[in-house]
Amino acid sequence: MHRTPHLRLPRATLAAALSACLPLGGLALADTQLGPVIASGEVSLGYQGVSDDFRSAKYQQYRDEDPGVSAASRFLFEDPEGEHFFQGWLDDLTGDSQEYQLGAGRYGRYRIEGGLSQFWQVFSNNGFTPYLGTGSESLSLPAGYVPTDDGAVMEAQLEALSRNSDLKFRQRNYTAGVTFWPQEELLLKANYALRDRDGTRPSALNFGSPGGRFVNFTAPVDDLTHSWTGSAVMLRDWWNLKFGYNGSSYDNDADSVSVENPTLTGTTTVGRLSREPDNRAHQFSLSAAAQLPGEIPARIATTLAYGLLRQDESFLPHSANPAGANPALPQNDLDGEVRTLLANLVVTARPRPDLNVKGRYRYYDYNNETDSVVFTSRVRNDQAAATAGLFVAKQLNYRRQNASLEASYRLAPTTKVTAEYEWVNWYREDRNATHTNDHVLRLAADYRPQPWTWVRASYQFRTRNYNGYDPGSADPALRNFDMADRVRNQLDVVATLLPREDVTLTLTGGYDNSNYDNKSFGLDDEVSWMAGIDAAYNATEWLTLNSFYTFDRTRWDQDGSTSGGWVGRNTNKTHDVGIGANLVLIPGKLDARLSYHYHWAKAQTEASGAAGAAEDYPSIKDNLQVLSAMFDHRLRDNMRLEWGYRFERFNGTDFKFDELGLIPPGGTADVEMSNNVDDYKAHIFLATVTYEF
Amino acid sequence: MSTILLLYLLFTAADASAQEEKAAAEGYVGDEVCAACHQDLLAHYEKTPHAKVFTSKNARTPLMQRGCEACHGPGAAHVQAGGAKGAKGLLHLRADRTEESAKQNAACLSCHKGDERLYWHGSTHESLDLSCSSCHTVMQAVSRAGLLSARTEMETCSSCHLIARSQQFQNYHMPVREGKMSCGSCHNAHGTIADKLISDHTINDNCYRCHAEKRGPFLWEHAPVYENCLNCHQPHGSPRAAMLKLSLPRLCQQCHPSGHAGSPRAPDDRFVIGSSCLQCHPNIHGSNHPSGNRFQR
Repeated sequence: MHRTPHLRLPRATLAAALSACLPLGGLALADTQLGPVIASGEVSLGYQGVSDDFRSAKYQQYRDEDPGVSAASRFLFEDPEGEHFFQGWLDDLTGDSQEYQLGAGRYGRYRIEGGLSQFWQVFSNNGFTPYLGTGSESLSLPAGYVPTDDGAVMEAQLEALSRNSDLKFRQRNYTAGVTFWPQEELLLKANYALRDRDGTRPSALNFGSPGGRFVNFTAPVDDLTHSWTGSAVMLRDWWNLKFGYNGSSYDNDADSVSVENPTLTGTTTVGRLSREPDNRAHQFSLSAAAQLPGEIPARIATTLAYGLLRQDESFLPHSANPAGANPALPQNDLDGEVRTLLANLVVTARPRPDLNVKGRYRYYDYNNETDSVVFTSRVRNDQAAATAGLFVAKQLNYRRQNASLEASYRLAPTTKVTAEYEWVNWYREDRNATHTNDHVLRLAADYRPQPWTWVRASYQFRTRNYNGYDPGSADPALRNFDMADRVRNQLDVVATLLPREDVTLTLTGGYDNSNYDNKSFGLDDEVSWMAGIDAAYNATEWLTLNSFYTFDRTRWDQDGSTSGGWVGRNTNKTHDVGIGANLVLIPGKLDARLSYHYHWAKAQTEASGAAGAAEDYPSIKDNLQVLSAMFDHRLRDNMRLEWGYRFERFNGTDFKFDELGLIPPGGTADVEMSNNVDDYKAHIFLATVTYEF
Repeated sequence: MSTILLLYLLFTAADASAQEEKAAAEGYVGDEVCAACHQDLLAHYEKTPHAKVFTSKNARTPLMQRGCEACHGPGAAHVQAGGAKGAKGLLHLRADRTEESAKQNAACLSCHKGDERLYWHGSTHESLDLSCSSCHTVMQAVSRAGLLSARTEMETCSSCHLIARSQQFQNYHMPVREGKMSCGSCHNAHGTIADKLISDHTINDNCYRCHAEKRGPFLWEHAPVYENCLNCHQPHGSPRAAMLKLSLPRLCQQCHPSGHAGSPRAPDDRFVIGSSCLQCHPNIHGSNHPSGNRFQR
């Protein structure tokens, strides 16, 4: 491996280690004359074998790692003059994680590209459901099922009639775009993306609130999201300008789901749940940046953006019950419209060589212009009769302003200090606190005695106060945490050290505490601690070692209900440790990458008080181990063999799902799906032959 | 006709000659001179987008036509010094030259100005004296796109953001480590309008790019939802289902500590297990049902 001085350094070490494992030292491939074009690229064919207990939703999530043949290719065709090109990246051609990217154009002038990326979002592959019609908008119970309110009778029937049902959907992302430089200083871009989701996900519906009678079921996922973006950018020496447009259209083909009632509760056999409505969004923006005239180097950058969101999906009737009360609707749809306005201004200047200043103002207005809808009655669920009353669907708005001033002064060539003050104001027209003000003080010190020895310590003190709080119908002592008075202290340290020429250490640490004063219930205190170390050691020309460890802990304390009083403590703790080695076993012939990563997490939910009624929940725990040994063997000048072994093991416990049956504990007549996530253990062997051209 | 052609050729030849003289006067030596000594770098460099564009036919600007010297500056002094290191006038695009980060960045920004880098000046990374070469490698295409210094965005970013890397290994996470998303799906490392280098104008706008179904507006809005998805979710991953900060019902009880929601409830309570509160309030992100004011319909 060729070592240049900067390979000792952290990012470069990583890059070098990676590139050492890439044949031909990276993505460089030989050029081949192929008829009228110069071609380069590669074709890969491989086989992956997997053994042991790996058929878990967790193993399959977002990726295709099942046994089988795999194929991939990448190529670049150019004309002999090196002006025009056609290139492609084709990954996982035979699997469920397919990814294609194709591009063509002329270097430096224009580029046309398109692609497809696919993956599965897998929630569970061991769920059980009695319902027929999975994936459709109408779920019915099988013939022979007799509705009952007796939990034991229901369970017996469910066990006999339920069948396995995967909970997963496939997401395909199609993209197309054009990038065009018609002139030296003009850049035009247009892109289109289509997100297509198809499958199922868990959902639920209640037939007898309050008190439950809920059913869990496989809800259909069948929607399309179209997105368009376009921009024109003027690029001049001392100023530039950008006009942009983003548009998006969400079309849900499953805008409701009807579920047959398995209980005797109510008067009908069907309940209906509305799903996400179709909606449209548009956003226009104009951004500009310029060097300011004058002797002081200064620059201004600004953006003005206007957005429009619309939603006019037809309302469902109050009730799916044809025989029940179904009050008239005041209008057929929401005719919803939200207008957003953003203005942003940043001015940076260097009045002295050792002093940088920055001023910033940001204004964001989320203005929901939808008229309030007044309902004179409500149907709690499809089995209930209408309840008279005024039910006002009031649309919510907010406005947020930020203003800040920052000064950064270089005390010495090695030392820089920064101070910043920021004011953040929220105006919420229809929430409990109309105005909240944050005052933020940030201090930072950078010390860089040598190019790659660098330490930054930063501290932030932030205080938030509301200006009047109306709890409404909630307890007078309640203050929602996103508006409550708060004092926040945050400390962060990042350091990159070079104790020896061949060793690089990256250290990070952080403390963050948000204390919510003047509130009696709900979230009271939030504390985070985090620390991490990453070490890289260039031992020899042929061996690079690396390791890391990180720790992350967040704790939320909360005060419980207004009646009885209880306190809760919730903690998330995570440890990650990893080691790795990159070896050049036979220079130019055989490289190896060895790595091991252990991830451990624990989520605790504790409670006390309320005369013993509050108790701790079992901890949610998981750990993931990945051991990998990969070898890159160059067989011939244009052929290489990548082979290796990977071991993965996942163990997780989550009391909320692990013991989930078809009905909840206590024998109540509710329907669960017994959908949890299995542990897995997988031995993965793979070999891939790659032919380069 | 032939006279015109002859005059044209003489004129263009004279013009080319004048340009060469001007270039020489400015200290430019040309790619061939660089290649004579730096042959070892060319094999990789020739495959990079820069090498493809920095040619006489493809260059969009006069600067791009300088080839190596478009980025490194005029090489005459370096050549005259016998290629010695430290020869004045030659810009080294390396991350360890932090004292020159502003100069390095200016060289890159001379072509890569505006657009996604409009807010680079004064941005988080700029204020840390990072240079473009802290994250990008110009001479070799290590990554599939973007000339990153590591093979993927996640590997590049995680060389400093160690905690964020570990969070991607949480049980519930976005498909970043599986390669279906990248850090750049949500962040623009070159500076943005929003906090935390979020690409879009707000956090929610960022989330709506993939979760457009949550965008609404809904008939019945849940205020903390449309203001900030991060009131409830941890975007880099969580040990708790749905990337929630806390398990239900505790998360809901942070704002709803009274009434039926306020009971601490035992761990085997049917309103605790499974999807907990969402079994009766499934449309918690907002409902468009006329009777959905409690997000039950």
